[in-house]
Amino acid sequence: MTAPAAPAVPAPAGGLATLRRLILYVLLFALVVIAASGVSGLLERLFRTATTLVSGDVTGLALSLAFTLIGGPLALLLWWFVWRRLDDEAERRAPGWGLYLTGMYAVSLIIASTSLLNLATSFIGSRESQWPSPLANGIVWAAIWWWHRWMWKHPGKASRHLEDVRAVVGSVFGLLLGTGAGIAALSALLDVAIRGFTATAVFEPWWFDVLRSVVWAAGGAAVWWWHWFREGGRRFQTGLVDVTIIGVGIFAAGITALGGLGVILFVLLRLAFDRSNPLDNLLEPLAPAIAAAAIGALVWRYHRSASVHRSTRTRRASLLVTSAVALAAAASGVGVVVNALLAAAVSPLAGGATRTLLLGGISSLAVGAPVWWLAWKPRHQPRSADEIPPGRRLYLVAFFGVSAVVALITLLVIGYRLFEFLLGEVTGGSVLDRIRAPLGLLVAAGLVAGYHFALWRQDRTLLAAAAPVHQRMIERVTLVSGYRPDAVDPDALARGIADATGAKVTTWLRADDGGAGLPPSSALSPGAGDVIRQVVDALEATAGQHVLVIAGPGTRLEVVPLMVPGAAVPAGPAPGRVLRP
Amino acid sequence: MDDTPAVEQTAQKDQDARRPDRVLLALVGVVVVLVVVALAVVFTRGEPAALDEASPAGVVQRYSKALIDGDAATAASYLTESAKSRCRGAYVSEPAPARVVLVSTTERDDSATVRVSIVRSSQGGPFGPSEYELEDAFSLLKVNGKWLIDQPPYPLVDCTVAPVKQ
Repeated sequence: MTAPAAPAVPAPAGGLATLRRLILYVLLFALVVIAASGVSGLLERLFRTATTLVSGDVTGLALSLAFTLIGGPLALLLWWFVWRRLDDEAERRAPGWGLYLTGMYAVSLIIASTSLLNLATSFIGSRESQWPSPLANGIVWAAIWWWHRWMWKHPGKASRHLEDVRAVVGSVFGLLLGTGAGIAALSALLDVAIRGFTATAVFEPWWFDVLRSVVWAAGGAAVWWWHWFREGGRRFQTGLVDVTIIGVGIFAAGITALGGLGVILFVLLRLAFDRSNPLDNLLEPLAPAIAAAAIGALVWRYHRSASVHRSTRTRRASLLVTSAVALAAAASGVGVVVNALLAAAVSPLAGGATRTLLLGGISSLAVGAPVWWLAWKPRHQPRSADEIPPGRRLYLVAFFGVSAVVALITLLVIGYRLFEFLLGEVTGGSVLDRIRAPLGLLVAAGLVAGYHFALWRQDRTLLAAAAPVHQRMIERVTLVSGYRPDAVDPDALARGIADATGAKVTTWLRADDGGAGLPPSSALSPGAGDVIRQVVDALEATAGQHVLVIAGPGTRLEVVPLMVPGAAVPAGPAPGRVLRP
Repeated sequence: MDDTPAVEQTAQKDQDARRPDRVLLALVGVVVVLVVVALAVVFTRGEPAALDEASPAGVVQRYSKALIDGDAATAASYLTESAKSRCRGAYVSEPAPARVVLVSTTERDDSATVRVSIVRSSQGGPFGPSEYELEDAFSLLKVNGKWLIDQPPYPLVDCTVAPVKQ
């Protein structure tokens, strides 16, 4: 290595470059949005000219012109400047560029697709005059979307490591839009089928609403299909895609499906046992519930089978999330059952609704418990330390922790109500009535915490039984070599110890007169292989995470287990010893 | 020689493995018992016990019951003239409360205050139906030796039959 002959031109400091990029991309983002709003305003005006008789909106036109004529050229100028700089590898790798692309891609995709879908639905029914605004917005933002997609896919200047973000942003948006609109369409259709025509005054045929929702759902599905299949979202084996599958496809869809099923069961139970409301009111939530259950289950099932073909970690996480959602539903069902039981013990002045409450609790429990049983498999729990999967202990601790927090809050509420009762004039019945909800939650949280605590303890016992192998593991070795480097190479010695024990080895050479400074003839040094074998033999008989090894000069070998001051003394059979002083 | 500890260890493991099963069974048992008891209690429960009509709480009870049942005419018969005249237009509080529980009664010579806890409920999602509770007070006056409600709390107001003030 030679020293550089001349000082290089200093590169801009990291902080400064980041600040420059931040300002640049925020400015570009704002300018693109301003220009787009200006152009779409002008286009809208153009489309309206055919139908407008008198136009007097000068301020709107002035604003659109200012946005277009000032924002547009400035946006192009800034973009040209940014685009030229992207020849530099550092600029392409900068997070600012990736964030700008992601943000603008997401914004333009959302505005363009909602505008175009709005345009499509504006032709359904009697809303002919509403097409210019969505059409103008749709054209402008679709162009911006296409422009940013082109930049993202540009072979020389793209931000390669963010390829999956584009697919994820698009597919999540499409999925949410498609699912929501699909549920709305199915729910409107089913509502007419179940309850008939409930509206007293009809302005338009009932199927207009359904058709509008179907158009939105088709648009959402198309956006999702494009990003998930065409752009290859499902093929990326990245953490982001895994998190998306679990967060949206398993968690959100699971809650939707379970919620729908719970409400269906609730309505059926009320029809059978609790006709306290008019039939029309009773049946009102049935159609949305059936729609949510059906479409939520479809989305959940698709992502469940998709997660099966991915990594073991994803599959396991999807099972844990399913089990968590179902357990939360079942536990709150138990809480509501306790709540209803206590409500029945209080004689209210008027009303009651205990039966409705109880049936609600039972339906949550009846829906959540079987799903939890299938996902968690309580009868097939690990029987040895090897069978305990990595995420399991986190799940157990999380559930234990969450139920502990719930229990704490409910205890505080109960305590507050009880003291209020003891200190003031409040009837005993009203105290019970006001603590029944927190008491129900407390019971449910107690059951959940008890079960997860028992499992956690059992896992700990299993791990402790398998632990001796792990405990004897030496994690760090500090090696003090007293050999001359040319007689026994300290690096080779350290490598040998590391290979044999798996520990991290820090090497020091002795600087005093007992070490490397001595002439080689003062003591007969053994070969490196011999030394490694001796040190490894000595380490095998030593317990402790951190061990000091003093080897050499000559045949000297000392092994000392170390500990942090104040830590418990390890109960090991092998104290430090001087093997050959 | 070496087999015995191994066998013992396996037996111990099996025993350990069975322990959470017992916990699980106990918890499932608790849940089943809770559901069965709740079903039995809730379905055998009758109407709320009627209080004395001559007491402020009894008047509040009859008024609230009529209101929850949608019988606005009967409810109005428990209101003072000034309470009826205060109704402007058709106002019905939505949604109707599901449950009214007595908190406390303060009775003076000519007036009384009855504090109640009013529970409203909404349809359930995945986590069961949700209820929210608020506490409010009825003000009552003694008119001709009879308790009448002068000011009902706003969730328990129904002005559909009261005449619109001229």
